[in-house]
Amino acid sequence: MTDSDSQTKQDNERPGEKTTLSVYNAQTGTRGQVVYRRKVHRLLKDLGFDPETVLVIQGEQLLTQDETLAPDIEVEIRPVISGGSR
Amino acid sequence: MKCRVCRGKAVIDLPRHNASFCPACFDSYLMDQVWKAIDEFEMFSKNDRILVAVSGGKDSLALWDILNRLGYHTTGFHLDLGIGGYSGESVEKTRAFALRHGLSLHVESLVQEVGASVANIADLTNRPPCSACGVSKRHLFNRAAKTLDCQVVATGHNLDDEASRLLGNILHWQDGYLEKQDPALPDEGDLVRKVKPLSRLTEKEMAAYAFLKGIDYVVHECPMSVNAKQLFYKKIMNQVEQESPGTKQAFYFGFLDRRRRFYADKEEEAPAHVCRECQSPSYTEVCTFCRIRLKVARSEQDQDVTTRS
Ligand code: SF4
Ligand SMILES: [Zn+2]
Ligand SMILES: [Zn+2]
Repeated sequence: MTDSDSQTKQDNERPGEKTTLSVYNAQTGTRGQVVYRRKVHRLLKDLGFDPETVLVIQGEQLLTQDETLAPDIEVEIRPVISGGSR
Repeated sequence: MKCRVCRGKAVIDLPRHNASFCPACFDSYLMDQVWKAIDEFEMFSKNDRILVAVSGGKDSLALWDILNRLGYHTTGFHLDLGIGGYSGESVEKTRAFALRHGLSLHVESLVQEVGASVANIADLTNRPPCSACGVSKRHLFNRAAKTLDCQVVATGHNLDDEASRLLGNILHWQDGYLEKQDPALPDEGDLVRKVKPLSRLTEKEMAAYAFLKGIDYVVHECPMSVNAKQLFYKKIMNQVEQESPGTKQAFYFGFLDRRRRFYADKEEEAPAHVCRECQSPSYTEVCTFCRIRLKVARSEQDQDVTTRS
Protein backbone atom coordinates (compact mmCIF):
# COMPACT_ATOMS: atom_id res chain seq x y z
CA MET A 1 0.00 0.00 0.00
CA THR A 2 1.38 3.40 -0.94
CA ASP A 3 1.33 6.49 1.25
CA SER A 4 -1.44 8.07 -0.71
CA ASP A 5 -3.56 4.91 -0.40
CA SER A 6 -3.34 4.93 3.37
CA GLN A 7 -4.09 8.68 3.34
CA THR A 8 -7.19 7.99 1.24
CA LYS A 9 -8.33 5.31 3.67
CA GLN A 10 -7.96 7.59 6.66
CA ASP A 11 -9.71 10.39 4.89
CA ASN A 12 -12.52 8.40 3.45
CA GLU A 13 -13.39 5.11 5.00
CA ARG A 14 -14.86 5.35 8.44
CA PRO A 15 -17.18 2.64 9.68
CA GLY A 16 -20.80 3.57 9.10
CA GLU A 17 -20.01 6.75 7.16
CA LYS A 18 -21.47 7.53 3.75
CA THR A 19 -18.96 7.06 0.99
CA THR A 20 -20.38 9.43 -1.59
CA LEU A 21 -21.15 13.12 -1.53
CA SER A 22 -23.44 15.21 -3.76
CA VAL A 23 -21.65 18.07 -5.44
CA TYR A 24 -23.21 20.93 -7.38
CA ASN A 25 -21.13 23.14 -9.67
CA ALA A 26 -22.86 26.54 -9.68
CA GLN A 27 -21.16 27.72 -12.85
CA THR A 28 -21.86 24.78 -15.11
CA GLY A 29 -25.12 23.90 -13.35
CA THR A 30 -24.06 20.23 -13.14
CA ARG A 31 -24.69 17.87 -10.23
CA GLY A 32 -23.00 14.61 -9.41
CA GLN A 33 -21.93 12.09 -6.79
CA VAL A 34 -18.26 11.92 -5.85
CA VAL A 35 -16.22 9.98 -3.30
CA TYR A 36 -16.80 11.47 0.15
CA ARG A 37 -13.84 13.32 1.66
CA ARG A 38 -13.90 14.69 5.16
CA LYS A 39 -11.89 17.81 4.49
CA VAL A 40 -12.63 20.56 2.00
CA HIS A 41 -9.08 20.66 0.65
CA ARG A 42 -9.15 16.91 -0.08
CA LEU A 43 -12.41 17.20 -1.99
CA LEU A 44 -11.02 20.07 -4.06
CA LYS A 45 -7.89 18.08 -4.79
CA ASP A 46 -9.98 15.14 -6.01
CA LEU A 47 -12.04 17.40 -8.23
CA GLY A 48 -8.97 19.23 -9.55
CA PHE A 49 -9.88 22.69 -8.28
CA ASP A 50 -7.34 25.25 -7.15
CA PRO A 51 -8.67 26.53 -3.76
CA GLU A 52 -8.05 30.14 -4.88
CA THR A 53 -10.53 29.74 -7.73
CA VAL A 54 -13.66 28.49 -5.95
CA LEU A 55 -15.93 29.05 -2.97
CA VAL A 56 -17.07 25.92 -1.16
CA ILE A 57 -20.52 26.22 0.37
CA GLN A 58 -22.50 23.69 2.37
CA GLY A 59 -25.84 24.35 4.01
CA GLU A 60 -25.57 28.15 3.37
CA GLN A 61 -22.16 28.24 5.07
CA LEU A 62 -18.90 29.29 3.46
CA LEU A 63 -16.18 26.76 4.35
CA THR A 64 -12.44 27.14 4.87
CA GLN A 65 -9.97 24.55 3.56
CA ASP A 66 -9.63 22.58 6.81
CA GLU A 67 -13.38 22.42 7.48
CA THR A 68 -15.07 19.02 7.83
CA LEU A 69 -17.81 18.27 5.30
CA ALA A 70 -21.13 16.82 6.39
CA PRO A 71 -21.64 13.65 4.31
CA ASP A 72 -25.36 14.06 3.77
CA ILE A 73 -25.67 17.69 2.64
CA GLU A 74 -24.99 18.76 -0.95
CA VAL A 75 -21.81 20.78 -1.43
CA GLU A 76 -21.85 23.76 -3.78
CA ILE A 77 -18.64 24.53 -5.63
CA ARG A 78 -18.82 28.07 -6.94
CA PRO A 79 -16.03 29.01 -9.37
CA VAL A 80 -15.00 32.65 -9.01
CA ILE A 81 -12.81 33.31 -12.04
CA SER A 82 -14.19 35.41 -14.88
CA GLY A 83 -12.55 36.09 -18.22
CA GLY A 84 -12.57 38.80 -20.82
CA SER A 85 -12.15 42.51 -20.27
CA ARG A 86 -14.57 44.18 -17.97
CA MET B 1 -9.81 27.42 11.64
CA LYS B 2 -10.12 30.50 13.82
CA CYS B 3 -10.42 34.17 12.89
CA ARG B 4 -7.08 35.95 13.21
CA VAL B 5 -8.72 38.94 14.85
CA CYS B 6 -11.45 37.69 17.21
CA ARG B 7 -10.73 33.92 17.38
CA GLY B 8 -14.31 33.21 16.25
CA LYS B 9 -15.06 30.60 13.59
CA ALA B 10 -13.39 31.52 10.29
CA VAL B 11 -15.23 31.29 6.96
CA ILE B 12 -12.39 32.27 4.65
CA ASP B 13 -8.65 31.65 4.63
CA LEU B 14 -6.33 34.06 2.84
CA PRO B 15 -2.96 32.37 2.35
CA ARG B 16 -1.53 35.59 0.86
CA HIS B 17 -1.99 37.28 4.24
CA ASN B 18 -1.42 34.11 6.22
CA ALA B 19 -4.78 34.81 7.86
CA SER B 20 -8.34 33.54 8.26
CA PHE B 21 -11.37 35.66 9.07
CA CYS B 22 -14.90 35.33 10.46
CA PRO B 23 -17.61 37.17 8.44
CA ALA B 24 -17.47 40.38 10.52
CA CYS B 25 -13.66 40.66 10.55
CA PHE B 26 -13.49 39.75 6.85
CA ASP B 27 -15.88 42.62 6.16
CA SER B 28 -13.65 45.07 8.07
CA TYR B 29 -10.57 43.77 6.25
CA LEU B 30 -12.23 44.11 2.84
CA MET B 31 -13.68 47.58 3.44
CA ASP B 32 -10.26 48.66 4.65
CA GLN B 33 -8.59 47.40 1.47
CA VAL B 34 -11.07 49.30 -0.70
CA TRP B 35 -10.58 52.41 1.37
CA LYS B 36 -6.79 52.08 1.03
CA ALA B 37 -7.03 51.88 -2.76
CA ILE B 38 -9.34 54.92 -2.95
CA ASP B 39 -7.09 56.90 -0.66
CA GLU B 40 -3.70 55.89 -2.09
CA PHE B 41 -4.69 56.71 -5.66
CA GLU B 42 -6.94 59.65 -4.76
CA MET B 43 -9.70 58.03 -6.78
CA PHE B 44 -12.59 60.28 -5.77
CA SER B 45 -14.07 62.27 -2.94
CA LYS B 46 -17.48 62.57 -1.32
CA ASN B 47 -18.18 65.52 -3.65
CA ASP B 48 -17.84 63.43 -6.79
CA ARG B 49 -20.66 61.66 -8.53
CA ILE B 50 -19.47 58.16 -9.48
CA LEU B 51 -20.77 56.16 -12.41
CA VAL B 52 -20.43 52.50 -11.38
CA ALA B 53 -20.22 50.19 -14.39
CA VAL B 54 -22.35 47.25 -13.27
CA SER B 55 -22.38 44.03 -15.27
CA GLY B 56 -24.46 41.94 -12.86
CA GLY B 57 -21.41 39.88 -11.86
CA LYS B 58 -19.96 39.59 -8.36
CA ASP B 59 -17.29 42.28 -8.63
CA SER B 60 -19.32 45.17 -9.96
CA LEU B 61 -22.36 44.51 -7.76
CA ALA B 62 -20.10 44.19 -4.72
CA LEU B 63 -18.34 47.42 -5.71
CA TRP B 64 -21.64 49.26 -5.96
CA ASP B 65 -22.66 47.88 -2.57
CA ILE B 66 -19.36 48.91 -0.96
CA LEU B 67 -19.32 52.46 -2.38
CA ASN B 68 -22.87 52.90 -1.25
CA ARG B 69 -21.99 51.69 2.25
CA LEU B 70 -19.04 54.10 2.32
CA GLY B 71 -21.45 56.94 1.60
CA TYR B 72 -20.37 57.92 -1.93
CA HIS B 73 -22.81 59.31 -4.51
CA THR B 74 -23.25 56.62 -7.13
CA THR B 75 -25.26 56.01 -10.27
CA GLY B 76 -25.26 52.53 -11.77
CA PHE B 77 -24.76 51.99 -15.48
CA HIS B 78 -25.48 48.67 -17.16
CA LEU B 79 -24.79 47.87 -20.79
CA ASP B 80 -26.99 45.11 -22.19
CA LEU B 81 -24.64 43.20 -24.51
CA GLY B 82 -27.39 41.27 -26.28
CA ILE B 83 -25.86 37.86 -25.46
CA GLY B 84 -29.03 35.77 -25.20
CA GLY B 85 -29.92 34.31 -21.80
CA TYR B 86 -26.68 35.53 -20.22
CA SER B 87 -27.48 39.19 -20.89
CA GLY B 88 -31.12 38.69 -19.87
CA GLU B 89 -30.03 37.35 -16.49
CA SER B 90 -27.42 40.12 -16.11
CA VAL B 91 -29.92 42.95 -16.68
CA GLU B 92 -32.43 41.28 -14.39
CA LYS B 93 -30.00 40.83 -11.47
CA THR B 94 -28.63 44.34 -11.84
CA ARG B 95 -32.12 45.85 -11.80
CA ALA B 96 -33.12 43.73 -8.79
CA PHE B 97 -30.04 44.89 -6.87
CA ALA B 98 -30.73 48.57 -7.65
CA LEU B 99 -34.34 48.20 -6.59
CA ARG B 100 -33.48 46.40 -3.37
CA HIS B 101 -31.03 49.13 -2.35
CA GLY B 102 -32.97 52.08 -3.76
CA LEU B 103 -30.12 53.04 -6.12
CA SER B 104 -30.44 54.81 -9.44
CA LEU B 105 -29.61 52.71 -12.49
CA HIS B 106 -29.24 53.62 -16.14
CA VAL B 107 -29.44 50.84 -18.74
CA GLU B 108 -28.33 51.05 -22.39
CA SER B 109 -28.37 48.41 -25.09
CA LEU B 110 -25.44 47.58 -27.36
CA VAL B 111 -27.81 46.35 -30.06
CA GLN B 112 -29.49 49.74 -30.07
CA GLU B 113 -26.23 51.69 -30.03
CA VAL B 114 -24.24 49.68 -32.59
CA GLY B 115 -26.93 47.74 -34.42
CA ALA B 116 -25.71 44.27 -33.40
CA SER B 117 -24.91 42.05 -30.41
CA VAL B 118 -21.31 41.38 -29.28
CA ALA B 119 -21.21 38.09 -31.22
CA ASN B 120 -22.52 39.69 -34.42
CA ILE B 121 -20.20 42.69 -34.11
CA ALA B 122 -17.29 40.28 -33.77
CA ASP B 123 -18.38 38.40 -36.91
CA LEU B 124 -19.01 41.51 -38.97
CA THR B 125 -15.82 43.34 -37.98
CA ASN B 126 -13.39 40.40 -37.65
CA ARG B 127 -12.48 41.40 -34.12
CA PRO B 128 -12.35 39.06 -31.12
CA PRO B 129 -15.66 39.47 -29.21
CA CYS B 130 -13.93 40.76 -26.07
CA SER B 131 -12.13 43.44 -28.05
CA ALA B 132 -15.36 44.71 -29.66
CA CYS B 133 -17.02 44.54 -26.26
CA GLY B 134 -14.16 46.42 -24.54
CA VAL B 135 -14.12 49.24 -27.11
CA SER B 136 -17.91 49.66 -26.87
CA LYS B 137 -17.88 49.66 -23.07
CA ARG B 138 -15.13 52.29 -22.85
CA HIS B 139 -16.96 54.54 -25.28
CA LEU B 140 -20.43 54.13 -23.81
CA PHE B 141 -19.28 54.35 -20.17
CA ASN B 142 -17.57 57.65 -20.92
CA ARG B 143 -20.56 58.99 -22.80
CA ALA B 144 -22.93 57.95 -20.01
CA ALA B 145 -20.71 59.56 -17.36
CA LYS B 146 -20.87 62.86 -19.21
CA THR B 147 -24.62 62.71 -19.85
CA LEU B 148 -25.36 61.69 -16.26
CA ASP B 149 -23.07 64.36 -14.87
CA CYS B 150 -20.60 61.94 -13.24
CA GLN B 151 -16.95 62.95 -12.77
CA VAL B 152 -15.58 59.43 -12.56
CA VAL B 153 -16.27 55.92 -13.87
CA ALA B 154 -15.60 53.07 -11.41
CA THR B 155 -15.26 49.47 -12.61
CA GLY B 156 -15.09 46.20 -10.67
CA HIS B 157 -11.63 45.06 -11.82
CA ASN B 158 -9.98 43.05 -9.06
CA LEU B 159 -6.39 42.03 -8.26
CA ASP B 160 -6.62 38.89 -10.43
CA ASP B 161 -7.82 40.95 -13.40
CA GLU B 162 -5.00 43.44 -12.98
CA ALA B 163 -2.21 40.94 -12.25
CA SER B 164 -3.17 38.72 -15.20
CA ARG B 165 -3.41 41.73 -17.50
CA LEU B 166 0.00 42.86 -16.30
CA LEU B 167 1.44 39.43 -17.04
CA GLY B 168 0.01 39.50 -20.58
CA ASN B 169 1.28 43.03 -21.17
CA ILE B 170 4.77 42.18 -19.94
CA LEU B 171 5.01 38.92 -21.89
CA HIS B 172 4.41 40.91 -25.06
CA TRP B 173 6.11 44.11 -23.87
CA GLN B 174 3.07 46.21 -24.59
CA ASP B 175 4.61 49.52 -23.53
CA GLY B 176 1.56 51.53 -24.52
CA TYR B 177 -0.69 49.43 -22.27
CA LEU B 178 1.84 49.14 -19.43
CA GLU B 179 2.13 52.90 -19.30
CA LYS B 180 -1.62 53.17 -18.82
CA GLN B 181 -2.12 50.26 -16.46
CA ASP B 182 -3.11 52.22 -13.41
CA PRO B 183 -5.93 51.81 -10.86
CA ALA B 184 -6.75 55.49 -11.42
CA LEU B 185 -6.50 57.11 -14.84
CA PRO B 186 -6.94 60.89 -14.61
CA ASP B 187 -9.46 62.70 -16.77
CA GLU B 188 -8.09 63.97 -20.02
CA GLY B 189 -10.06 66.49 -22.03
CA ASP B 190 -13.36 64.85 -22.76
CA LEU B 191 -12.41 61.52 -21.19
CA VAL B 192 -13.57 61.20 -17.59
CA ARG B 193 -11.43 59.75 -14.79
CA LYS B 194 -11.45 55.93 -14.57
CA VAL B 195 -10.83 54.05 -11.35
CA LYS B 196 -10.62 50.47 -10.05
CA PRO B 197 -11.28 50.49 -6.30
CA LEU B 198 -11.16 46.67 -6.00
CA SER B 199 -7.62 46.31 -7.33
CA ARG B 200 -6.24 45.27 -3.92
CA LEU B 201 -8.71 42.38 -3.58
CA THR B 202 -8.73 38.95 -5.22
CA GLU B 203 -11.49 37.39 -7.21
CA LYS B 204 -12.13 34.88 -4.43
CA GLU B 205 -12.38 37.63 -1.81
CA MET B 206 -14.94 39.48 -3.94
CA ALA B 207 -16.99 36.33 -4.47
CA ALA B 208 -16.89 35.66 -0.71
CA TYR B 209 -18.04 39.23 -0.01
CA ALA B 210 -20.94 38.88 -2.46
CA PHE B 211 -21.94 35.55 -0.92
CA LEU B 212 -21.73 36.77 2.68
CA LYS B 213 -23.76 39.91 1.85
CA GLY B 214 -26.43 37.85 0.10
CA ILE B 215 -25.82 39.62 -3.23
CA ASP B 216 -27.57 37.71 -5.99
CA TYR B 217 -25.14 37.89 -8.91
CA VAL B 218 -24.69 36.11 -12.23
CA VAL B 219 -22.49 33.10 -11.47
CA HIS B 220 -22.44 31.85 -15.08
CA GLU B 221 -19.56 32.97 -17.24
CA CYS B 222 -20.11 35.18 -20.26
CA PRO B 223 -20.23 32.61 -23.12
CA MET B 224 -17.81 34.78 -25.13
CA SER B 225 -15.05 34.41 -22.55
CA VAL B 226 -14.31 30.75 -23.31
CA ASN B 227 -11.24 31.48 -25.38
CA ALA B 228 -10.21 34.67 -23.64
CA LYS B 229 -6.44 34.75 -23.23
CA GLN B 230 -6.90 36.39 -19.87
CA LEU B 231 -8.27 33.15 -18.38
CA PHE B 232 -5.02 31.44 -19.31
CA TYR B 233 -2.93 34.16 -17.65
CA LYS B 234 -5.12 33.96 -14.55
CA LYS B 235 -4.54 30.23 -14.38
CA ILE B 236 -0.78 30.69 -14.55
CA MET B 237 -0.85 33.42 -11.89
CA ASN B 238 -2.90 31.18 -9.61
CA GLN B 239 -0.48 28.30 -10.07
CA VAL B 240 2.38 30.54 -9.03
CA GLU B 241 0.28 31.86 -6.13
CA GLN B 242 -0.43 28.35 -4.90
CA GLU B 243 3.28 27.56 -4.76
CA SER B 244 4.17 30.90 -3.26
CA PRO B 245 1.29 32.78 -1.64
CA GLY B 246 1.54 36.56 -1.94
CA THR B 247 3.26 36.54 -5.34
CA LYS B 248 0.25 37.93 -7.20
CA GLN B 249 0.02 41.04 -5.07
CA ALA B 250 3.81 41.46 -4.93
CA PHE B 251 3.89 41.33 -8.73
CA TYR B 252 1.12 43.89 -9.26
CA PHE B 253 1.86 46.26 -6.38
CA GLY B 254 5.58 46.06 -7.21
CA PHE B 255 4.80 47.11 -10.76
CA LEU B 256 2.71 50.07 -9.58
CA ASP B 257 5.57 51.21 -7.33
CA ARG B 258 7.98 51.11 -10.26
CA ARG B 259 5.66 52.12 -13.09
CA ARG B 260 6.12 55.83 -12.66
CA ARG B 261 9.88 55.30 -12.67
CA PHE B 262 9.83 53.10 -15.80
CA TYR B 263 7.62 55.46 -17.71
CA ALA B 264 8.64 58.72 -16.05
CA ASP B 265 8.73 62.09 -17.81
CA LYS B 266 6.62 60.90 -20.66
CA GLU B 267 4.12 63.59 -21.45
CA GLU B 268 0.66 62.12 -21.71
CA GLU B 269 -0.34 62.49 -25.34
CA ALA B 270 -3.91 63.70 -25.49
CA PRO B 271 -5.89 62.43 -28.48
CA ALA B 272 -5.17 64.78 -31.37
CA HIS B 273 -8.55 64.51 -33.09
CA VAL B 274 -12.20 64.81 -32.38
CA CYS B 275 -14.13 61.95 -33.98
CA ARG B 276 -16.05 63.36 -36.92
CA GLU B 277 -18.96 61.01 -36.19
CA CYS B 278 -19.51 61.36 -32.45
CA GLN B 279 -17.28 64.31 -31.48
CA SER B 280 -15.50 62.35 -28.77
CA PRO B 281 -11.69 62.59 -28.39
CA SER B 282 -9.91 60.24 -30.76
CA TYR B 283 -6.40 59.40 -31.96
CA THR B 284 -7.77 58.99 -35.47
CA GLU B 285 -10.26 60.93 -37.56
CA VAL B 286 -13.03 58.46 -36.74
CA CYS B 287 -12.89 56.81 -33.30
CA THR B 288 -12.66 53.02 -32.93
CA PHE B 289 -16.21 52.76 -31.63
CA CYS B 290 -17.63 54.64 -34.63
CA ARG B 291 -15.50 52.61 -37.03
CA ILE B 292 -17.08 49.46 -35.56
CA ARG B 293 -20.54 51.01 -35.72
CA LEU B 294 -20.11 52.08 -39.35
CA LYS B 295 -18.71 48.72 -40.38
CA VAL B 296 -21.70 46.94 -38.84
CA ALA B 297 -24.09 49.29 -40.66
CA ARG B 298 -22.28 48.75 -43.99
CA SER B 299 -22.25 44.95 -43.60
CA GLU B 300 -25.95 44.97 -42.85
CA GLN B 301 -26.67 47.11 -45.93
CA ASP B 302 -24.61 44.72 -48.06
CA GLN B 303 -26.54 41.77 -46.66
CA ASP B 304 -29.82 43.53 -47.43
CA VAL B 305 -28.74 44.07 -51.02
CA THR B 306 -27.67 40.43 -51.39
CA THR B 307 -30.94 39.11 -49.96
CA ARG B 308 -32.98 41.38 -52.22
CA SER B 309 -31.11 40.53 -55.43
S1 SF4 C 1 -16.17 38.02 -21.66
FE1 SF4 C 1 -15.71 39.36 -23.39
S2 SF4 C 1 -17.66 39.64 -24.44
FE2 SF4 C 1 -18.15 38.80 -22.43
S3 SF4 C 1 -18.56 40.59 -21.19
FE3 SF4 C 1 -16.40 40.12 -20.91
S4 SF4 C 1 -15.36 41.36 -22.45
FE4 SF4 C 1 -17.51 41.32 -23.01
ZN1 LIG D 1 -13.35 37.75 13.68
ZN1 LIG E 1 -16.80 58.35 -32.67
